[in-house]
Amino acid sequence: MMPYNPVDPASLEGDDLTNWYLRSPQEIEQQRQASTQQRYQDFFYGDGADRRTANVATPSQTSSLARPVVDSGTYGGRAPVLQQASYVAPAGAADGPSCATCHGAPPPPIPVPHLPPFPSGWDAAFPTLPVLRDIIGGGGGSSKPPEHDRKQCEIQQRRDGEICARQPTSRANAVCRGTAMDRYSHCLDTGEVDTPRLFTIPGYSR
Amino acid sequence: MNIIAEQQLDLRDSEAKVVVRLFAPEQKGQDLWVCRHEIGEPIGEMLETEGVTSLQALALAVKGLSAALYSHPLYREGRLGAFGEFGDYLGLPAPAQYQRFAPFPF
Repeated sequence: MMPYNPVDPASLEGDDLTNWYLRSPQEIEQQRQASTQQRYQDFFYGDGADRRTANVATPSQTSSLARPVVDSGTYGGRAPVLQQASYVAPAGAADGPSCATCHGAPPPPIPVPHLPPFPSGWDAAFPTLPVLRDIIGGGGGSSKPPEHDRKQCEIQQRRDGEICARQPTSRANAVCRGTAMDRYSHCLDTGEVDTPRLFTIPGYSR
Repeated sequence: MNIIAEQQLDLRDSEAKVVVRLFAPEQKGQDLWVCRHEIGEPIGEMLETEGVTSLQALALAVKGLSAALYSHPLYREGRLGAFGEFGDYLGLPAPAQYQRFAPFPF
């Protein structure tokens, strides 16, 4: 799998920020899985393991603790080895297959958390905060959204306007635009996007 | 574009003014009117609000302008004001969802 190189949206501007914000659900899911993979690698093999190792088992492939195969030059010829022999059984302690924590049978595979799919109705282009605010604004739940959150509100407003323009009747268009402004106001206040709901006629919402 | 409304807002500890302008709605197509507002520096924001009619575009533009002002960190920090008061009424109503910190309903 490709190394996960997270993009800090706070560092983006203009079209780059817009493109990041309008990623497809597939792209977001891929990045989410890459992030999970990276956290797994960092936790079990050290920070940056994915960039240093040439052949590391993925969580889905792991049936027991795997030893990473390390480029011999990475650590000056001293490949790090997972701590497997540091435990010394006390005298008289059981030894053999019944001792699952020291010798013999390896421990069971470490469970990898299953990430649920996106809930129905979730719009990947405008994920509900606090997830987005945690990513972009550094979290904290502040009542004062930072400046770059306000840019998102403008992006949402423009996109909502495009959706409203596609409504089949003038009334639906007008109602849609009214709720679009409610969403804009809410976004400026809280930093949350995609709330409240944009009133549209089914089939004309995208 | 014709300016139909304008106001100067105060900044605490500064002689500078924040100029707010609202422009007349303009028709851009069938069922499409656009009303622009501008907020001068240091806020420096502009929005073109669309409506099905000129009245809706105007009404929504006022709401958007209000939201932009009352939600801005300068207002929240009590540094933006009008009529000699800061962090208070700015001369236009606030969106309903802002009542907890700006109790000036439409």
